[in-house]
Amino acid sequence: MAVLAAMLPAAKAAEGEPPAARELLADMAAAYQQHSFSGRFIYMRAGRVSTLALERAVIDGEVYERVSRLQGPAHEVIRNNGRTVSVHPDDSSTLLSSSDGIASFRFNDRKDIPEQYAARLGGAGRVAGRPAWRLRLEPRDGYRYGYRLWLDQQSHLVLKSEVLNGRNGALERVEFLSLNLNPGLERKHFALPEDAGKAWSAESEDEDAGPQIEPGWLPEGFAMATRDHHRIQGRTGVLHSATYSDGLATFTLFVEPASSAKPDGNLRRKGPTVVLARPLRQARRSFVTTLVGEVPADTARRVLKHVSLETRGD
Amino acid sequence: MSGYTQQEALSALADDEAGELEYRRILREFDDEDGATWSRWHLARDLMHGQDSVAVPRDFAAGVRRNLGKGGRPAWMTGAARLMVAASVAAATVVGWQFWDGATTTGAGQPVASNLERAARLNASAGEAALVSGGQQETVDSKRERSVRLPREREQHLNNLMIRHSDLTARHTGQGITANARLVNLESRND
Repeated sequence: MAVLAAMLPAAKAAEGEPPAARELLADMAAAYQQHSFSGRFIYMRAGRVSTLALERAVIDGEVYERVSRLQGPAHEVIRNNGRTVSVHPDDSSTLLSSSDGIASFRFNDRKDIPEQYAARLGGAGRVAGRPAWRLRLEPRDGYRYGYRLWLDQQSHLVLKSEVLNGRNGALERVEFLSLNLNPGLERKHFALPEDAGKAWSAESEDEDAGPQIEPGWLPEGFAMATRDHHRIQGRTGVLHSATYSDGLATFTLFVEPASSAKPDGNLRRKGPTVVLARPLRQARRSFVTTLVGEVPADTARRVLKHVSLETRGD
Repeated sequence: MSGYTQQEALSALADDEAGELEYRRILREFDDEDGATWSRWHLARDLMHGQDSVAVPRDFAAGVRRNLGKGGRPAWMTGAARLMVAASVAAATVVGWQFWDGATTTGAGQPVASNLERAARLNASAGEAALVSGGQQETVDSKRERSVRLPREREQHLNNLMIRHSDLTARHTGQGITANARLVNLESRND
């Protein structure tokens, strides 16, 4: 199937004919960055199920989003012009991040999926009442999880995705119940509350300012997506972070002064997300480095073992 | 290296149990009549569990939210009107019985674990319960594979890092939908 699929470029494929798996994946990334859409979806992780609504608009190149929980206490996260605000059930709100003036949705330029995944087209299916292409991404090494994806045949947006463990069990799943490709959303729909309390404050808008996290080892195919330096309200010390992605899997390395956190060496997990911390001693100063991401535990341990902090003459 | 640990296998097993049942039921109900029965399904379960159920406009009007936050119910949504609205409006349904990762929270406005959740937990084996016990601190000692409780402050800090990671992933990679789902559910836990 993989060989057959590779012979059928997406652009030239006749209607209803399966496109090439890798071209479809590139289209998937582009579609997500460019399309406005709305829909309801189910999310499952670690045995918990929740239903959510997503509205996403791309207006003059700016991305606006509203994600609402449909069960339990009403809760929303809204993104507007570089700011992410969380609105709580009691109507209070928290500013989660702000990158005023900086491209808030600066995507990793890569749209390809690295060779560390074997991509196979699994034929046609249906999700949310829409024709879909089924894709299987199998890792060629043990450093990442596998994925099953269902892409909308019309828009190439992801209609359903699963993160798989080594036994093809779903560690996490997202599935659209409905999708509207013409939601007619305007900026005013994403108005932010004006009195949002700050959870974080930017230490520097220059991502190259301050100490740099140096991963001594990364699994092949991973590249840096973004990094920044922030303070958490109520805590002392700057939190440095660097996020790495292979196009599907993502993890973030955080480094902070040891005084503000004590690592216990335990692995913490929710579905595919692991959290692992270890002490880091450098330039006669003590830090704690924490990895949070959707990678196998052994990958997290190995990455964390080789992290250092370049303090630049500090 | 194997790449997959026993904890991960257990977590996947847990996903196949209570969550899978719930997942299938939501899908089935939504498929039926293009989701028109979805609201009714929520309402029926709410009544069964003695909880409030309110159909609200998709943008969660602030007034409704305030009322919900106070534990009350909008005046217009009583009796037959409530039933009609819930059954006919193509809108979000806010129910109180299910709470993501919320069994540990005890703050004002937080629902306690539902009967369904409790039943699911009772049905789960002890090994699974250690990993999915109502969203309790899912900490696994990497060597001894046992559940570990973290100090509240440390737990909160790690949760903040997970929120931060999810926000960065949503904004800077192509995996935004899943990352947004993680973010909303992590944030909700802090309420």
